[in-house]
Amino acid sequence: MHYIAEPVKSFAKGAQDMKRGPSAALEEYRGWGLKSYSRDQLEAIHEATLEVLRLTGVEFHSEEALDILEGGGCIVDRGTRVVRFPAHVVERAIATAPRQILLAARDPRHDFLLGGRRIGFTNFGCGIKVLDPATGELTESTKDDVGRAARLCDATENLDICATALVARDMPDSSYDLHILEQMFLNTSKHVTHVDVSGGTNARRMFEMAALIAGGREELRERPLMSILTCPTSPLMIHESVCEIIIEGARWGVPVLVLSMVMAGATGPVTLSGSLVTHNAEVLAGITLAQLTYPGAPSIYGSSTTILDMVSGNAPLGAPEEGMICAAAGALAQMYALPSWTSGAWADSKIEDAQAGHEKTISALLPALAGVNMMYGMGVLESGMTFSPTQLMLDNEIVAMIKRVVLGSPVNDDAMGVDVIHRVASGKNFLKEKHTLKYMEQEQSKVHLFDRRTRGAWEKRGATSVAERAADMAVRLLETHEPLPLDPVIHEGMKAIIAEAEAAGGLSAGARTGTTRRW
Amino acid sequence: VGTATLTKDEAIERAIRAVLDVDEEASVRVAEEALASGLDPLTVLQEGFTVGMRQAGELFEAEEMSLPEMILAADCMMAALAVLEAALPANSRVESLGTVVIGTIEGDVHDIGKTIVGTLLAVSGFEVHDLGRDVSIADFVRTAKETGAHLVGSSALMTTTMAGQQKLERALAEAGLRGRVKTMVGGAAATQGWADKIGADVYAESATEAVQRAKEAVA
Repeated sequence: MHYIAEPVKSFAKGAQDMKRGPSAALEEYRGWGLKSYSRDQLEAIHEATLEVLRLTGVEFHSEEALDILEGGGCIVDRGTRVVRFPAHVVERAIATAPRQILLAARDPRHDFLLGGRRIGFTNFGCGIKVLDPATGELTESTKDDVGRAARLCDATENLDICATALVARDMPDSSYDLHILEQMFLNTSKHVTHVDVSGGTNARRMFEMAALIAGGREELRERPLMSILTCPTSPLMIHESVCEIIIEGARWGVPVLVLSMVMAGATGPVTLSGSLVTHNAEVLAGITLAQLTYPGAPSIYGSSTTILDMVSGNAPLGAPEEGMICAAAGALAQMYALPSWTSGAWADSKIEDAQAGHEKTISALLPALAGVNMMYGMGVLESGMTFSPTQLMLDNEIVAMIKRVVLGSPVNDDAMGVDVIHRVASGKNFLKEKHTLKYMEQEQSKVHLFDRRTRGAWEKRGATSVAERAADMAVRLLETHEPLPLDPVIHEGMKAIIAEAEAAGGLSAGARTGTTRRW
Repeated sequence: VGTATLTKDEAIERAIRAVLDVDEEASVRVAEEALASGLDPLTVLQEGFTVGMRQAGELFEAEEMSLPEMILAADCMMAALAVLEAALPANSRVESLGTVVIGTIEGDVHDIGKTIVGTLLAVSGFEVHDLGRDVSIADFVRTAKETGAHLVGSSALMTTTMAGQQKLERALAEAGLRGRVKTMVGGAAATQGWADKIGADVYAESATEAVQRAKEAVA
């Protein structure tokens, strides 16, 4: 029992463990990134935006919003409802908005700090169909699906906060959004972002529901357990319900994400820079309304702006331009010192295929490298129409890799391991070095669903596709994952708020019926 | 020197743990203390370190242990083995499963995989002669003859050097060795189909599988 190895060649005797003095004023980056537009180009977009806001303005379909904006120094035409913004009003609003926002979670271990160039990922958001991971069947989403999706998101490691994945289409108009929130709080202990709020009245009811968990209205302001995503109508229009949500959110101190969805070529100029101007005008108009309502209100700068595909007539969110615009939107938000939120990890593909994989990566990697604070899109297919639990599992793996890229790799004497290189010298390997063991966790990505094995090892494990393995994982997680329970007394309080909304909407108690499904 | 006396069970348990913890110092210490306690070196080796190494191989195969850790576990085992073997009388050496000559085919300098296979064969009880990389056919044959090898393993990463594995088959036959020497082929380019085609006895896709197949081939 001997191991007689080849002779040891050492070329570097005496060169090991030499003294290396400290370096003076070394410039270094931590984390990897990309530059989209230069500071001058971003300033040019900002100046063009201020010009549009000052001369053309934005239409606001809310008397209350018009009152607030007029009171804050804007020029309001009550007949056309067009609001024109002096530059100093907009720039003061940018200045009063906080640079960092706490997205608090029911379980404080999931609290997420939004700001700087820290990145995070969440799911989309308002899907109306769900792809059953076990059968591949496509069905209209129900309240029950909302809860299941939230439970799966709760269990998904690289999903940092939890957005409402689906719409409860089996619930009444007066309360469907409240039912969604109830399902969210029941099924996840991460921060909840509601993507489909009907208006100011139900926004207030939601804040009351969240305040039950937080322990009161002031406690909710300290620890906002939820946030709302709301969208201007491009070009240059903000609908009444959106105004109400922005105003109500500002008053309660609940973060509101003003996210514009310009379709370049249709609801904005076809050039990416031109659409960034109208997008920027819409978002800054919304944030100005929030800041004039309550200076210091937690406002988030959002973008789902992309191109309109002139062949299909659809707005692709897995397009490279979407990634470029979101990266540039992130750069604008950084210039304004506002927390940012954009699309990322989207797909236009209808199934969990190669197209989906590519679209997810290209739409996520660009904004991630640009330092966008939150990217939403995990689990989404069909440009946002469909939520796929299987895709969510795949996206968890994709996002892990993207987070690894952003982390970068340190450059210093210990990390470079020059002494180790001298010691190992030519022709040997580094597998047994302490340096390898010390850094391998930090430096190397690991895969759980993707397969890096040999063909034989892959065949032994059933020769399955990654989508098949992801579907299995989704089913298994749904069977086993138990979210942090919600206090039944709080749940009863939420139900009472929902019943009150339904009564106000003219619905008698017990009139709604839910649909349950098995996935 | 002031160390507590180990029972057989304690020595075995600590030997297994030292290998799985990839702690070379601990492995050597257990071996030394076992000897100082008058325990049978062969028992400590076979029921302790060898078992630990087998478990490490199983953990690696189950993807619960990383490649560097498994190789370091093998080092722990080899370090302990050196201590225990030195204590054996000259006429009662640890019995080898067989002698293996391995190397990477001439023209090919890729040898990480081959080295890992060699290490695992050694800790599994084979006497291994690793000729390194870029090894000429003549060197393979000469070493096989000199060492009385039971198994000759050759590795080829590239399709261009694969042909060397076939030449090696022929050269071993011409040297009259093919009767007692089994052959094993590996490397990224090699497949079971290739092994069948050139008449090699053993092909395996992973290092742990190679050990298993090698044991079967020389049994």
